[in-house]
Amino acid sequence: MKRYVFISLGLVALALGMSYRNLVILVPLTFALALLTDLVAIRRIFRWKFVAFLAVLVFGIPLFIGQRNALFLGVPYSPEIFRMSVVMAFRSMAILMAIKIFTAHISVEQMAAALQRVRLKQFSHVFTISMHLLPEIRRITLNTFREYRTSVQGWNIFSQTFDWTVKLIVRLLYFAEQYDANQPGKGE
Amino acid sequence: MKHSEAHPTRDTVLIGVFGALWGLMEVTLGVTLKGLRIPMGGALLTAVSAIIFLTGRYFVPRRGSILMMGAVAAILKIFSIGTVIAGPFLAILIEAAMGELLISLLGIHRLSYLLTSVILVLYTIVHPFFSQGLIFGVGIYKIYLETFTRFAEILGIGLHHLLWVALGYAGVHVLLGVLAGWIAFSLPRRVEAEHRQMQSQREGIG
Repeated sequence: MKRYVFISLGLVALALGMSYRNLVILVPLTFALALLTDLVAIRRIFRWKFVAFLAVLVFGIPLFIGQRNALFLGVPYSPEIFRMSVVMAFRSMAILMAIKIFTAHISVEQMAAALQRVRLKQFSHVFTISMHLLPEIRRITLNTFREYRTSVQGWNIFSQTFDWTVKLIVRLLYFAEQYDANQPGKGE
Repeated sequence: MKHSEAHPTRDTVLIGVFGALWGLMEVTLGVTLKGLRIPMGGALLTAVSAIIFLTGRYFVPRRGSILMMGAVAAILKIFSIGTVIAGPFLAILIEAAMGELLISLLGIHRLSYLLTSVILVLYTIVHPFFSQGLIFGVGIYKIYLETFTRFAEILGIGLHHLLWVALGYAGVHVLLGVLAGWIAFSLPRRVEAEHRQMQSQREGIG
């Protein structure tokens, strides 16, 4: 786990250090680090929407804004905005790769254990409880939602939704109290 | 080991329950709203989140509880889907921090609930710019400003006209925030009354 945390932090550091002058060094370094760590996870970032957004950012935006005082194949563009867009594109790729590597290799359970280790005990305790209760909370919520869907009639949807939200919270409170009461050492 | 660490207190369980509910809602409703491409989806999601954590805060009148609920919800969200969801993760943490700060400063009353909800829903307008600033760097703001200026030039209007459009958009957000705050303040009272009634019925049966 530690390895992936450090790699993710390294990628973020590389992203923050990027400027147009050092791109030649930092971009290959960033991609080498990310690709050697997890090629499959990285490939998932490069969806067509993200690639299209980056293409517009790098090749489209400099044609329309800024001081268009340079020519490329006879088309005027802004070199300042182009340089800025290139840095932004690579920076965003590096940051998203860092997040992807982090989330692909670290599970919720590992996160909870890590929180315990770094002495965030109170939060780690809350987190462990919420993970433990999550399936039951999901069940209660879904059941209440199903009941709500079958019972809503007429025009006063807002009032009925409010009533069902009250029911949901009451059920969750009751469940929380039951859970609390059933803990060892309670009610003795 | 302290007693509170060995056995959860009622407050800890409630923070866990409301945090999990918030996270569950972010995952399910968030994906639905995004999939349906409903306008102002982020604001709607924040309004529902505010109702959940402000209700939770009413039952756990302890500093730091909203922050912990938010952290649980954010972790559930970031591990929920296969895609990179840095924006929503950050949004939940910021919402929780802002909610915690405002409620800790103002206390629990209708006005504080209204104000907190309005500020949080308004923040959803700013959030994309903020998270994009983190991902792309400050250069993105220059690009936005220049794009708006160029857009205004093409339409033959001044930047102040676009500002009026933005203000109108913010006005709709304020209305949504007021509604969320109103519900968030009324909900726990109704819940408390029903819960008490349910308990007395159970004791009567017992």
